[in-house]
Amino acid sequence: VIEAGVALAALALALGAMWWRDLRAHSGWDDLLAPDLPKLQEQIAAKFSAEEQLARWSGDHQFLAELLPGRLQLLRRLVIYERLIAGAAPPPGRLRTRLRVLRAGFHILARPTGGAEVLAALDEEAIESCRILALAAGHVRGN
Amino acid sequence: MDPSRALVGDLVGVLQFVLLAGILLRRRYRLCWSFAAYVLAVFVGDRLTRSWPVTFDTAAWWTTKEMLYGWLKVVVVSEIGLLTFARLQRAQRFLWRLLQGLVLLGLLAQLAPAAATHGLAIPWGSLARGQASVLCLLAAVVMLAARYQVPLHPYHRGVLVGFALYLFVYTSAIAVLRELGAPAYRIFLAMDPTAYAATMGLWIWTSWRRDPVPTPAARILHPWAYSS
Repeated sequence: VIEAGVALAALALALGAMWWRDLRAHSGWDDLLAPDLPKLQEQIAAKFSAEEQLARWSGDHQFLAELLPGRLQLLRRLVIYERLIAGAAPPPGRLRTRLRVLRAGFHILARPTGGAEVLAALDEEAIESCRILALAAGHVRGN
Repeated sequence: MDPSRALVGDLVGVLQFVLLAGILLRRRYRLCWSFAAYVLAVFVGDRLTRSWPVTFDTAAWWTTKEMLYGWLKVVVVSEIGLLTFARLQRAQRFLWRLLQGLVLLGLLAQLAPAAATHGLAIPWGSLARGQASVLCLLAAVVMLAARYQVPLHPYHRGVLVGFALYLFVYTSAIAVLRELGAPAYRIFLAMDPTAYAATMGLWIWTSWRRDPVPTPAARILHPWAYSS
């Protein structure tokens, strides 16, 4: 009878998870993987390719050497920002928030100019907000 | 072989044939190879029992084929889980470790002492634990997919719902048989083929129907389903 009980519990969990998933209907992945995403990816790829060609033609070795670390820093900033924002969201909506922030980040990256500055500003603002929140939390606890 | 049992066996055989035809003609085997192998194995096993009952309608053969089907179900659930998370490497690695852990737990559960089986030649307790373990694996895959908000492919969903309902009925029927002994065999013979025929009906519908239009997310998360 224990086996039947385990089977009933597993059946309830499996069907319950499917039903819960159907109730939500909309997946966070649909936000990120929307039809405009392939176009965005193409824009980002074209932008990066243009930067590489410019670096090659200019013969500026320092620019060439900084190109890849610069891009990595850009993406790292996007990830930090996305994690900070998602951290503040309630657990059930965390994944959806992360995907929405990433999608917005891709839009910024695809811009012809200014992507790096916007992400850097967002990154600094998010860190500053966290610092203020931590200070406020400490202040509340102190009282 | 009992004539009514033979008739039910033939009916299930026809359903299995229609299901296999759907899997082949609709090319569903590309979506889950192990499920096609499972259906084929069940079809061959049942036909052997039906055609040569003296050789194959025995407790030893029945136990052997049920163990084989049990392992095939584990492979089906694992394949569906790994395909669902094909584009999410970290989640896929986590699922793989989870499945390994659950299979190990299922094997350990087989070592737990079982109650006496009223002198029956088939290890009912072991079979019931095996089916319940497979159902736990299935629940783990579905719950992880819900956790990551990853859609299940409609075909996989049909296969899993069919397995979940059938495994529950099958495990319960085995539990009843184990508790009551030989007098409950008639209940088992009524419950098991009826549930299996209903499951076959669901799987036939799943394999023959036209898939709904996939969302952009499903196209990217399930490249194995939509690449030509």
